[in-house]
Amino acid sequence: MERQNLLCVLMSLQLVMACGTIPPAKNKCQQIVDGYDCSDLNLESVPDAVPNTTRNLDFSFNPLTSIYKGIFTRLSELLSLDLTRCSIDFMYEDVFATQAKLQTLILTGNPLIFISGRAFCGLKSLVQLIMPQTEVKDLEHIPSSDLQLETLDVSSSGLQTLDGLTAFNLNRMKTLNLARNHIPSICASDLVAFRDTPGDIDVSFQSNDILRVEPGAFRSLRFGGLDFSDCFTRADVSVVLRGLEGVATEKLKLGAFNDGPHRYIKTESLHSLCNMTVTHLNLQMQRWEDVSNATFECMGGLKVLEMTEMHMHSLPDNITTMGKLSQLTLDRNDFENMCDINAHNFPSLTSLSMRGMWGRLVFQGNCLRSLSHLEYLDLSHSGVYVEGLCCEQQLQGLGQLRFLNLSYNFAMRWDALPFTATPQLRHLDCSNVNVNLSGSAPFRNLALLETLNLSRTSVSVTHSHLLEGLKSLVHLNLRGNPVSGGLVSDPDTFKPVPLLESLVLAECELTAIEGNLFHALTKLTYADLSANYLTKLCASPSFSLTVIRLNFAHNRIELVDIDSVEGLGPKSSVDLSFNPLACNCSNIKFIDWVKANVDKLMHFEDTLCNASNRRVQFSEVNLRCNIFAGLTAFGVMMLIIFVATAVVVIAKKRKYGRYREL
Amino acid sequence: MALLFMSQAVLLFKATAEQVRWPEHVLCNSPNFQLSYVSCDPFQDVGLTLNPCPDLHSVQVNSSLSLVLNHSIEELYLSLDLIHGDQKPIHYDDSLCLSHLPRFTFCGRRKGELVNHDWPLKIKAIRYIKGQFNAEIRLVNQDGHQIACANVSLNKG
Repeated sequence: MERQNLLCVLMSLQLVMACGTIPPAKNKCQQIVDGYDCSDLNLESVPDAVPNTTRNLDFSFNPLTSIYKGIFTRLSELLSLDLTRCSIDFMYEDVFATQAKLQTLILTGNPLIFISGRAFCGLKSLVQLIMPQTEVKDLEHIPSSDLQLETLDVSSSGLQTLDGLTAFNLNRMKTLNLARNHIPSICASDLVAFRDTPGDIDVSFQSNDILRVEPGAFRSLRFGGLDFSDCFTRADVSVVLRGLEGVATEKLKLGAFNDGPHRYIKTESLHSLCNMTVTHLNLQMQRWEDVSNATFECMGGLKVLEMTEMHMHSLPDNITTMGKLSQLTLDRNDFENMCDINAHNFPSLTSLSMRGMWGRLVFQGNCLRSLSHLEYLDLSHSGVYVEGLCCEQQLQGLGQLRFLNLSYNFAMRWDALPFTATPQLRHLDCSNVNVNLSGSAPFRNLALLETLNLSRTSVSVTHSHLLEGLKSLVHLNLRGNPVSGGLVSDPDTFKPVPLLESLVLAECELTAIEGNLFHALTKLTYADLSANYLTKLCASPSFSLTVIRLNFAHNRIELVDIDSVEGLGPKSSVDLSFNPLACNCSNIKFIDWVKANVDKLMHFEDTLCNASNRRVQFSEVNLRCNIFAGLTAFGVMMLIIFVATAVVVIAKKRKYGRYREL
Repeated sequence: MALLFMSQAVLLFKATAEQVRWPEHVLCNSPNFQLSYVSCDPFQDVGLTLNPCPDLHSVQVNSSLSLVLNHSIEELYLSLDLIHGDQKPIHYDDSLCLSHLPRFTFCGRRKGELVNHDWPLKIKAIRYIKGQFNAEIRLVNQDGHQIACANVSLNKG
């Protein structure tokens, strides 16, 4: 009978699983750094397996419903407690009475209907209280008297007013997240609590449906950042800005999102910017109703201006107020010609980002000439098109440029020395641009260059002077540039780059590596030769095997010479995944090495022996390849040969004997 | 009886060892147009609805997506593969949330938050396609954790 019951249980379980509605679950808490992960185990209390000394406990996604004093009593060493989505609706007094060391309490997603006024008693060290989506309708319902928080997150919680904010001690507060609530109006009296803050606090009102801000409500207050993104469904930007008059904030966000409403900003709406101190203004995804020189009249104090995806074709040509601007972001706009940004408006610019233009961006010569302080220029994914040769004229005047990203653009025909105007370059990314070289040593003036990405540029890796002059180069990526003949035969190819630490030669159609190709690379710590046609793992004797990562994945290696891996130090690794490695006695030394050095093999689970098309894990290989087995095989072979010879001789003798009888 | 017991035990083991299969959800079911999806995330199903179903006449569709986040999404990346027979004719990647460019209101949400996302879609291509199509859609966060996964199946006569 018992067996039948068990069978029924098994069958019903199987049926449920076949229907597939039960996710795979852990069945016990797992140890993590300095603590335990007991999430999603259907627990109603902390299991005994979690020791009293636990410092971090992830108890999220368990059904607690109500929490009382005593539930965490023995865990007095806790620093972090995650109670995310535990269905807690009642939180009674003294729940954390013994958690004097607790620094982070996460209550995300709990429908907190009741929080006792003494619920947080004892939390003397708490600095982060994270409680978004907790259905707290009023800040007054959060017992704040004992708290000295640095972070309070009450986003998405249905707050309708800022009542109760004054009860919080904001002296140490760095981040206050009030985003996605239903706060329609902000008055000066709501903000009294900010009068004594040090001035570095970030406050987010993002996605609140703001209707009214009392003019001058923020006067004399100081902030690290104020976020009013997506707050303009019912009110114009000017309503918020009038309320902000007199404020001093490092960062001000007035942008929108792809999935939110977009408002057209009028020039006159921005007049209040003249009456506040802002260093960094973000207007992402808003749209201009009218753009003129006057639009920027009150932005004279800005150092950073972000105007991503604002459907802009051009900037006015006579902005006289932006002399202090050092960073300008114009990503994802509609500029068609680089000259349309009128770079002369921004003489102090050190960083210009124009990623992801929607159409084609003509990179005309001398457009950026006035940006003599520019250090960072990102033109990637922008359909950059150069008529004629690049980039000597186009980069004219950019003598201080350190970072240049030209990746993912149209094909370019380079000048003999394309970067002659930018000798200070440290990082150059030209990946996925079809490059046509005119000269023999295009980088010879870039003695300070540290990073060069030439992946998928069609440059010839075997070009004898390609790397000439790059004596400071540390990282070189040549992925996806096929090498004709499959072999880099010149042993001096990498001689100009003696400081190279990372080299990528993946997908280059290499069939072999010359033994002394890397002899100059004594500092190499990463070599990626994956996805080639190599049949041999070659570790150059010149680079140190004590600290190196070798990637030979996706090649055609069957046999591995034990000498090439035996010297790999404890911090070194090799990736031989997706190679047709042989699992027979000819590879036995390597197989034994793998079994003893699993930690040195990257992607061990994909490192299989499949010379015979049978994908077998190395741990499953069990070969007998000792010398006696070899001798036995030799002896048997000799015996067979001897018997066969004897049979032939006897048969011949009998045959001749018959002839004689005849 | 013993044999039956053993076979059940073996089958049970297989069922637990294999990846979980969530139920199929039908979004549209008309004689000429069927659209459905199955969550391919081992930890959770995902709620998706379209109103009205896109057809020859309506290209404007209100979509609504609901899921609980198992991980935070300071960054969120979309990966889509369109599968037609044995081929994957279209692969599409996009970054939905970046720390410097949060494109959607749900960017920056924390672990455990419920994301309810309503978005009007314009589906024009539906008029021109014909046949059976499958698509796999994955959302991955800044640490490489999968946020959601769905296998979508479309059949248009």
